[in-house]
Amino acid sequence: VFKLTKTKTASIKRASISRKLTKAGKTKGRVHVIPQQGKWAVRKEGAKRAVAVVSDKVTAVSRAKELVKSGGTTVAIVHNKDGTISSSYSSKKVTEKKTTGKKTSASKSI
Amino acid sequence: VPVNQFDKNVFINCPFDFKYKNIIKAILFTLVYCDLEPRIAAGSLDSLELRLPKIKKLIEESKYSIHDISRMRASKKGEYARFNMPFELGLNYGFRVYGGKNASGNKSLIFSTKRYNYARAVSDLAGIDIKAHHDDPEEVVRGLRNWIRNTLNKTDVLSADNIWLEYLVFSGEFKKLMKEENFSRKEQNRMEPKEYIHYINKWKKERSI
Repeated sequence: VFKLTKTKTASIKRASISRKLTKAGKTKGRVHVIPQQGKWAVRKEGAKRAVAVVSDKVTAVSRAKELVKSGGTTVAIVHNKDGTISSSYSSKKVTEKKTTGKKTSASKSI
Repeated sequence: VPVNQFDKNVFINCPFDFKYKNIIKAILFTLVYCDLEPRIAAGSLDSLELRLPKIKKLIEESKYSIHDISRMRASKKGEYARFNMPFELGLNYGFRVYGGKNASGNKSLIFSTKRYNYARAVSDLAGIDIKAHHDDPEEVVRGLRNWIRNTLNKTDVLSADNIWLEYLVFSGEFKKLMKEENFSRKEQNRMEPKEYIHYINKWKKERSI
C-alpha cells in the first residue's frame, strides 16, 4: 500500500510540475541578470538586445533593481551559471536566497 | 521512421553521469528549443532490449548526432576510462560511410572538455573538428546553437544569447517548482533525460518570445 501511495504521489507531483511549467512558460517581461561570456548581462525576456552588459555582478544587479524601481519591470531575477536562482527582486519587496552553502533569506522594500 | 521525424532526430552519444548533468541538460534544452528531437539510449524501460542493437537503431533513425568524448580519460587513479562514447562515434561514422542513401546528409557535432585531449587516446580522430566546451553549459548552448544554425542551415533559430537566457530562465523555474513539489535531491539528480525533455516541452508549449 505504501509503495502504491508513493508511486501515486510521484505521478501527481510530475503532473503538477508539468502544468505549472506550461503556465510559467507564458510569463513575459521579467528582467534577468545572467552570466554571459565572462561578463554579466541584464536582459529582458523577449528582447533582442541586452539592457546592459557589465563586467561585474554587483553593477548588473543594481541596474536590474533600477529597472524595477522605475517600473520598467515588476520582477528581476538573478541567475547563477548552473541554472539556479541566487536572488530575486520585485517592486513590492526584495527576497534573497543563497543557493549554495547555508540557506539565508532576507526581504526588504526597494 | 517518417521522413519529417528522421530530419529532426539527433542521436545523443554523451555521458549521463552526475558530474556531466549540467552539460547534458544544456544539450537537451538547446536541441528541444531548436525543434530537434534528442534520441537517447539511456532511459529505456525495456531491460531485455540489447544495448548495441538499440544504439544501431537510434543511429539509423537519426539524421544528426552529438558526441562527447570527454570521458576517455579516467578522472582518478585506478578508475577505468570510458570508451562507449568513442566506440559509438565509430559506429556513427561507419553508418555515414557504409549506410548508403539512408546516411546522406548525416551530420555530427563532437564535443570534448578540451580541444586536443582526445588525440592521445584515439589518434585516428586527428584532423576531425572537435568543439571544446570546457565543462561550461554556456559554451555548450552557444556551440550547439551555432552548429544548428550554420551546419544544419536552420535559419529559424533564436540567437545564442537568447537561447542561453531561455535556458537559465527555464532552469531557474524548473528548480523552483521541483522544490515546491518536494522533489528530493535524489529524485532531481536521477531524473531520466526523457523526463527532463518532457518538462522542457511542457514549458516551451505556450512560450512565445
